[in-house]
Amino acid sequence: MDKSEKIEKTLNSLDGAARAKANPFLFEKIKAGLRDSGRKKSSNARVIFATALAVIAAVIINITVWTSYTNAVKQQTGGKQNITSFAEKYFNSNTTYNY
Amino acid sequence: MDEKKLITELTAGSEIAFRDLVDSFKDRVYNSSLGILQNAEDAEDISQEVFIEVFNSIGKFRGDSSLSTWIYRITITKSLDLIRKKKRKKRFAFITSLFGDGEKNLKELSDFNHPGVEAENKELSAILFKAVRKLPENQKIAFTLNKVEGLSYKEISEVMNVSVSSIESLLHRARNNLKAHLNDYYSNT
Repeated sequence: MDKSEKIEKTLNSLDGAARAKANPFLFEKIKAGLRDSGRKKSSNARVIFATALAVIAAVIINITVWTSYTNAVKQQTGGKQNITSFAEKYFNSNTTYNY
Repeated sequence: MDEKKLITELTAGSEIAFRDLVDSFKDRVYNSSLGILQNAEDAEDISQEVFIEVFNSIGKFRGDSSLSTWIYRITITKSLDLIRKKKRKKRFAFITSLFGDGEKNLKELSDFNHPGVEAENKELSAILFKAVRKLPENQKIAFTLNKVEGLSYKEISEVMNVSVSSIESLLHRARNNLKAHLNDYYSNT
């Protein structure tokens, strides 16, 4: 047989081939797969929920800390203002006293 | 059960309808994925994944195509995804082997024997399947659906969502490419 005949014969070697048969227990394997994928989905949902809770808690804590910090700064600034106005009132005033 | 009734029952989650569907389509799904993947274990895994996808997505099936066309499309998509995943793994294994993991050899695909091929054609079909592996994706799909699964040009055009003339052209190019690969093979043996 020459090369071109061999090539033709090879190209036609699938002619008349029957369809391969699937595993007869495929349905049971699919059912098991569906059960497993259901379990995986619910454990993924728990992880996502826990992560979301952790992020929300971190945001709330940060907001609380930031609010407390800004309030503390305001109080300090308010105190400084009191001292400054006290100094202006008693050391810069034109009031004279004759002793 | 007629197709419309089957889809209604599947959407309602009927196990009987799902079993009917699996029984009707399992050989088609398995045979198609086997032709593309050329590995029985992989084809069985993909067959399971296809039916799980069908079960989970039946609610999204719009009926633009027939149920069989839709199932063939899922089969091809999942089979090609697996081939691409294996290629990526192979590339990664090659790179790690350059860094001293010389113990592992890249596993070459062994000769594939399709169980449905007639005995006198087994050896030649194994050579043909080796050449099919080298085809571009679209040509590989068209050739496999035509020669392994026995679909008509019209059926293949519906699965691949292209015109019949595109399928004719794909198969013509596939045949020419296969001839070239086989010519090289027979010249070197």
